[in-house]
Amino acid sequence: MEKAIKRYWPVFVLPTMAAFIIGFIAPFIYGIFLSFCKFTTVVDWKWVGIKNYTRIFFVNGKLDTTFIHSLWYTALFTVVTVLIINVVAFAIAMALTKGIKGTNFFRTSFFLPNLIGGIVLSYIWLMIFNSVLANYSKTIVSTQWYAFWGLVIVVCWQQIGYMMIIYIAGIQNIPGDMIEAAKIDGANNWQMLRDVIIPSLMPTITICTFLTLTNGFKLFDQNLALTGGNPGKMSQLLALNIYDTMYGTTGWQGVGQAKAVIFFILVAIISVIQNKLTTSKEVQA
Amino acid sequence: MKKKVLSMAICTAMVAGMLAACGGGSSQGAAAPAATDSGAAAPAATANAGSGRVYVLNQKPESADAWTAIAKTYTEQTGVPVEVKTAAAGTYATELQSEMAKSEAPTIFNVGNTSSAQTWNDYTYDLKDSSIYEHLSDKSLCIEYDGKIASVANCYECYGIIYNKTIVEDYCTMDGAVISSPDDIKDLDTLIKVAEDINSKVDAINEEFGYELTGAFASAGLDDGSSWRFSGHLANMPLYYEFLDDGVDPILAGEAEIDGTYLDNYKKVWDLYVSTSSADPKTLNSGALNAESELGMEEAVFYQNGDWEFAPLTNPENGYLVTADDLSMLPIYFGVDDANEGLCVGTESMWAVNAKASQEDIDASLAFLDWMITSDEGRKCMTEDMGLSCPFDTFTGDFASKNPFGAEATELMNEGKTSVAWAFNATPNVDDWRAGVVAALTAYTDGTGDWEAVKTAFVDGWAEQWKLAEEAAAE
Amino acid sequence: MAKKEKITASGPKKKYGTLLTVLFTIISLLWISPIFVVILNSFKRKAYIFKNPFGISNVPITRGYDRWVKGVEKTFVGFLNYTNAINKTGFFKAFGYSLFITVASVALIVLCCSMCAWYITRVHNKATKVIYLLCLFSMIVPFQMVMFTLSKFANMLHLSNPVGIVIVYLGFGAGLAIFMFTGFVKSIPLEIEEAAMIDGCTPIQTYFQVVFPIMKPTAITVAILDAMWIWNDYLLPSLVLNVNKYKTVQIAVQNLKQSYGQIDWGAMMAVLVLAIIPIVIFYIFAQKYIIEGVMSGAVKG
Repeated sequence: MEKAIKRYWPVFVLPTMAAFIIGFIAPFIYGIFLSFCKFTTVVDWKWVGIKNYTRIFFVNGKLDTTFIHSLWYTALFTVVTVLIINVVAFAIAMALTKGIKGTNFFRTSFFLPNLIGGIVLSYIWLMIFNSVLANYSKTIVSTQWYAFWGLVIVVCWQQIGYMMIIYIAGIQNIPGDMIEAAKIDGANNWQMLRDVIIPSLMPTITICTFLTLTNGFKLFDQNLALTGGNPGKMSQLLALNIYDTMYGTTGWQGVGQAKAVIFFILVAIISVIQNKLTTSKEVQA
Repeated sequence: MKKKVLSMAICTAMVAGMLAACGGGSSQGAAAPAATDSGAAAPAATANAGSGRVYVLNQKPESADAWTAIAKTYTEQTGVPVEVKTAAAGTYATELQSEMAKSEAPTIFNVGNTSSAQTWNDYTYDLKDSSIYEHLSDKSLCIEYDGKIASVANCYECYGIIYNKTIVEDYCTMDGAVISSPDDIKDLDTLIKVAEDINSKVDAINEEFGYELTGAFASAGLDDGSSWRFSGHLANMPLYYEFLDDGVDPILAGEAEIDGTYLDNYKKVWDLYVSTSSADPKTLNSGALNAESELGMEEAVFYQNGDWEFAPLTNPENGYLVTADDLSMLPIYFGVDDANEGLCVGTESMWAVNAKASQEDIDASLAFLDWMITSDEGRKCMTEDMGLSCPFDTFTGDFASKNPFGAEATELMNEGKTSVAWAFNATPNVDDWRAGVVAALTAYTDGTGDWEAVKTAFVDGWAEQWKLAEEAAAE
Repeated sequence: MAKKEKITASGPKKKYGTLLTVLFTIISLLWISPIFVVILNSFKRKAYIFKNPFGISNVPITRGYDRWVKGVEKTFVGFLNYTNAINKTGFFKAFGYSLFITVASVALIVLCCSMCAWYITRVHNKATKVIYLLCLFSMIVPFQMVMFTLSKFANMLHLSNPVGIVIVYLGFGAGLAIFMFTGFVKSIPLEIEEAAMIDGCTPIQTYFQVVFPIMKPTAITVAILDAMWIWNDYLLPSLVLNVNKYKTVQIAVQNLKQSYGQIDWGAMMAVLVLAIIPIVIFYIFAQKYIIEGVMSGAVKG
């Protein structure tokens, strides 16, 4: 059978691969190449070696901290959102698997914000934040910390529903007899949670953690629309910082591309760790 | 196995083909738009059209349709093919770069400031003997670089302090008014006195004349949608006077380092904007404010902005209370040379002709531009369809600017005042420099920072960005 | 199911359940209340939105009913914001483009990637292995890495239009889709396909008559995940499309801010409502598929 199918690659594989090359492979390879070039468009590049990479950190012979700032700002943001989203989503999922009346409606409401795009979502909250904060003579971009918590709230609002759904799926997959057995053993609620539910949810927890982790790391739309990086680029997450370097200043496209390569490496490392963890967990289970 | 090799080979070939397309396959890109336009041109081809071709790379997305229409008209009349391509907002520089690399490069393009004239020096055709330069009524509205007239303005804009004349006149009838007519506002100190007085009497004015004033000045928003009014337009004032002192010539060229000599005046004006407005100084960057609507709804009297605001302020769709008769514009008095100061007049919209194009194309392009500013169709297109105020002596009568602010600029010029040039066109790495100034200005205004930081961002930031821009251009 | 009944049936749990129901009703209403705040403000004159975002009058009711009503009259502008928003953003056109791009891209991704996935699972050689690994690899590459080059290539290949961007989406979305489809194909027993082939079906017939129908659940999952992604995507279309001519809903919303001037918050509120309503309607009808899609998507992804 394999032989029969094999001849049909122009039908089955070619269209996707052609698009894949245009949409991913060629831009990726060329992107890495351009990170070592000075360029304004893709045709007029000039090889500059690792200069773009040093320029990320040193400008005019001085240390430039904007990228480093956005790096740790992003890291902190990611840690905070991962914690809040997962804890809250898990708690809601637990409650909504107890069979209380109206579960369907609750699930629907919690999930709804996830369907609204990051741009639209951010303007909703920008209006609310600024009208509330105006009473205290503050705005969402008064300091980088207002911006930070504003972003955290928006992202939590968006993603808690999504993660909740995944946790619900996980909880419903826990075999009923395991819980029954624990009950018969006289386990209280806390013990049940700690010894039965959480251990059997480990794969789900890993999935959700890494989904939120990469989402946090790659966040762009909300950042652009809610704070625009203000005040003074202090609330730029990595993705926005790269975008700003690439499109904000002529002559800096190469540096922006170099930042993007570093960004890619960071995301890749996280993903590899995730992969290691999930596969090892699966082996255990 | 053979098949495997084949499929891999095809993939490789595709990648290679793609990269080749990026390198040399550009003819395809330019040919496509040419084909669509030449379709209309072919039947009408006449002898005098020669073999010239016109390709306009337009900078303003808002006038894309008008350009396309006028190109068609011209082709129908003369048989000369005119293509127009409009760059997306904010992408003109890169678009120009990639189009110029193609074999069918633009013949007419935009060179809006000196640094751009420097970048494109090899490409700018000397317009000294051209009809558009000859008809240019204010010869300062062009870019001179390297002994050439590199580009000529095709429109001009002006900005200053828009104010509601009717309210000021009403205020003047009140007891204790510090002036007796709006014409008395002739310098910064008077403006400050008037604004402060109006600001302290808003309730009395509202009571007597039925306005809804909340303050004298409209809010000085420091959000992205408004901060350029201060980091760009207001910042022009100290830059302009300093360049003037330093004898920078042409003034739009700017200089690598500035001293910030007039930053105290800048502070004085800024403080005026903030202290006589009802907006909370701590929340100016919220993006919740709308200065245009404040002036429009008669909640404020003064509003620093440009002549482009006339249309939205008087557009019935916006439902504003002000009418065209209420609106007038003052120079941004700066306490330096108020007696001679006019409005800030300038533009970044300037035509340059591609010197590397063939002689036929250059001639065709110059003929087209001449037609744009002399024919009825061309002039109507520029004043009505594109809504521009045009700086050519051919734009009289029906084609004169219908914008009252523009008329005001002319009037002040006729009184012998000097229009303030757009010195801020020389700003290096505009967005970055402005971001620094706005951040410092925000901190100063909401009380978390001091004025020294604004000075640093303004002066040191300028030198730093200048160096960076030089470095970027040098490589 | 039996488990659930046991929990709800017992006496004390029931009381506890009612309490939870009340509590969650409040929480979930609060949860979606921002949307109602936006709807409310979309009918208010733009100057009053920030002055009292949670009320309908600019005068507090404590100052007398008549003044309050007058305040309402002054604040309320009917559909003015909506007409403004529609004019300023070209909303319906943007909606049309968004709809076309999303539907066409999702259809193409589901069709092409499922075919590709089947092929690379059934044919074992180095090329198919490489393709599979490349797909895995593409999933971990953030968009920023390719955004500049991709948008320029798309421009050069004349893909800067709603039809062309569909190809870009197929290319950039292929990784995840192929990964999910291959996961499923591996679980389809070979015997079914072999039987079809023996009956004289060509691989193409086999695929469309036998394999694709079996893959339907995964196809729905992929379609849901990709539809959510593409509909809400801002950066890719804003870079790839010629935004002078073609705006998606997300671009139209963001452009309300980017024009040289301050945000018209009245129009903004209206356009937000216009952007949300179709999603909510779609969600109500396709809820079951969306939730299931997310659940199974996560398990595999």
